[in-house]
Amino acid sequence: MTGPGSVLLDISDLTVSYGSGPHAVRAVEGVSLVIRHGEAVGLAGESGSGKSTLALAVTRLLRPPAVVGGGRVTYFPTAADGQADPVEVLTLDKRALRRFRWQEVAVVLQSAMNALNPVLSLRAQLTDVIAAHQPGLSRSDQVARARELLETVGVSADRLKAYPHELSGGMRQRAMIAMALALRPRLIIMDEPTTALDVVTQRQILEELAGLRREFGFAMLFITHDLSLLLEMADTIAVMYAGRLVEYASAEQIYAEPAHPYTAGLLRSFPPLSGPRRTLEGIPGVPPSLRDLPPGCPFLPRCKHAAADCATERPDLTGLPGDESGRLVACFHTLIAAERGERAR
Amino acid sequence: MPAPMPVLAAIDMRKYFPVGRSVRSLVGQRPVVHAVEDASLALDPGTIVAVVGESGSGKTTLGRLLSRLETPTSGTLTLNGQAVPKGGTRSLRAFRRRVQVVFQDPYASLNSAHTVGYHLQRPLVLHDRVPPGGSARSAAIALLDRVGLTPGAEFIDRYPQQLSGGQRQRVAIARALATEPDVIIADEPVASLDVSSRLAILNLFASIARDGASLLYITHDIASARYFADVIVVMYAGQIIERGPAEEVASAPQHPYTRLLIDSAPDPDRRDETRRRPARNEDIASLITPPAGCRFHPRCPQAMPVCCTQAPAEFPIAPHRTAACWLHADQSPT
Repeated sequence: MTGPGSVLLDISDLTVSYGSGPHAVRAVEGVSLVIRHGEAVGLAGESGSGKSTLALAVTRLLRPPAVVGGGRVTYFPTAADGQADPVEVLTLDKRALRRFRWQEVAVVLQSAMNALNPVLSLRAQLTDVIAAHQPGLSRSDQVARARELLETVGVSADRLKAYPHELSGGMRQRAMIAMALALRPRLIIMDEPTTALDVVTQRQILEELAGLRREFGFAMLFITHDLSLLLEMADTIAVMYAGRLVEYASAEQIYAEPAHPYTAGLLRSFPPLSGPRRTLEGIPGVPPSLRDLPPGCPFLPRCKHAAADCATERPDLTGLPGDESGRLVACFHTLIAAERGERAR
Repeated sequence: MPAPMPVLAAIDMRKYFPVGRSVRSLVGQRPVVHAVEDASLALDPGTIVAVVGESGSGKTTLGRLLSRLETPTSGTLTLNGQAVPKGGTRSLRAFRRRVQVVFQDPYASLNSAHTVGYHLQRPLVLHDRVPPGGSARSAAIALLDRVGLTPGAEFIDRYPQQLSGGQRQRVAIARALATEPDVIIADEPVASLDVSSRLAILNLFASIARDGASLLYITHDIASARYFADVIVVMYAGQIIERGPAEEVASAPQHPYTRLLIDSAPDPDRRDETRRRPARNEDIASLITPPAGCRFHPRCPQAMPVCCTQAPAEFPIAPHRTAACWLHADQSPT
């Protein structure tokens, strides 16, 4: 049964490496994640966390030397009669993949606004997308649809004639979002969609996205390093570090009570706009090189709560004792356990 | 006790950039980009002034004018009360020793053909900062320790490519410190760094300011400005539109644009509040043909008729606090 709240995309134990053999770098290591219909999932991480690689893997956009080493990505489409077989994305054939991409899942990548063709007008590019996936539409219907899409993202339709360089960064990004919405996908994956934009434009676009989600009911995987943004707009947040998922909880839980020391450190890295002015520490050290990860927990060198077992064993992603909410954390000494004076395991 | 003399002061700075080439240039009517318009700014010793604005606000150009990487179209720049000459490299050498710059991109501001040690020893030698009886190398190592790249001896022979973004930025800061400057101008020094590295760099800047240097911190991120600056100056479309103590500007903004900036910034502590509606028109003011009157008026939710025709001055609201907004025209203390 599909519908709001049911699973839309199930990423299970996904592993992606760059290169092969002894020098391969594991960019994504055993990541499992679920996105439900209409849900806004935030994926937070810094450079080297693997978040962008994950997005590319899920949409089959990886290029050599990236290789999927294991795992599955299962998509649950919605059919008119409510019955449809789940789809294994990683093994889709070319034709099915083409339908999957854009009709079911659309992607807006980093610096997408620079992905627009500089020698084509906005109208040409929008109608191109529409025509590619809906070949039956007449030319004037395509243009009408393009108009409608632009208005949906808050760009006035008279900008259809414009070329990318005549538009501001914010408008180009909105145009990319319009293209992503063209076929009413069930899921939009966005990788740092507002990073290059001003704070004011960012806020406008995020509010528009929230409105569009309410109207069309699509799910969103929002990938960014800006955890403070995710706290505001995501329902669920997954935190990645060194290719692994280290925490997975609702935005509320992450804000109120982060379990993983890295998440807590990240939260403390954003100076607040209100409240007392105090010196903040952030997280000492730097994200690790994926080439020579030591055994044990990858966050160990930067962790203030580390103990002996952290160096020898790698913590798996599991639930918290006594917690039924479904939140997960990969840590032997979670902050919550520390709070309660217990050992987590 | 008299107020300290500002170490660096800009008075009525203007910077216009010519746009392309056109027939109009023959009749002296070239269109120009009004990048910075009538900006005056004073930096007191040991203080941190944050210049906050979006792209196109003129903040980077202002920084370049204050560091003399750009010569103004008009206006004066003084260092410790003395006018800074317009001249070339040689006459500016004394100025450069006292006013140093840290740039945004640590991958571009260091020369990958040279070691960390080279980057530091060069300014030490050029500006004669090697202590008598000491060596440039040991002075460089001391600088690395100062910026947290310890032990300095381990980093001195590395190349930039062997360092992370945060480490490179520390090298850039060490290089700026080499001349023992009175002022450091930092343009978005942490924007290119991973989030978890940013605070450490900002804390480093704060400690440098405590040691006596003044800092001009240019950024689009008002939260980090509030975090460690003493004064916040807000720019919009080439003009300074609000200034005051950092905490006051951040908690009680008086200019509608500052309010918009603060409302737009991500703030998890206020995520349950409904945000104010964003400004009506998305595009910022054109700098080639800026709007008449107040440059913000096309986007301002509180625009009045006078705003469309007359440009507001920076009206004083309180001591050390101004806002260039007609809403505050009659609040000047008499």
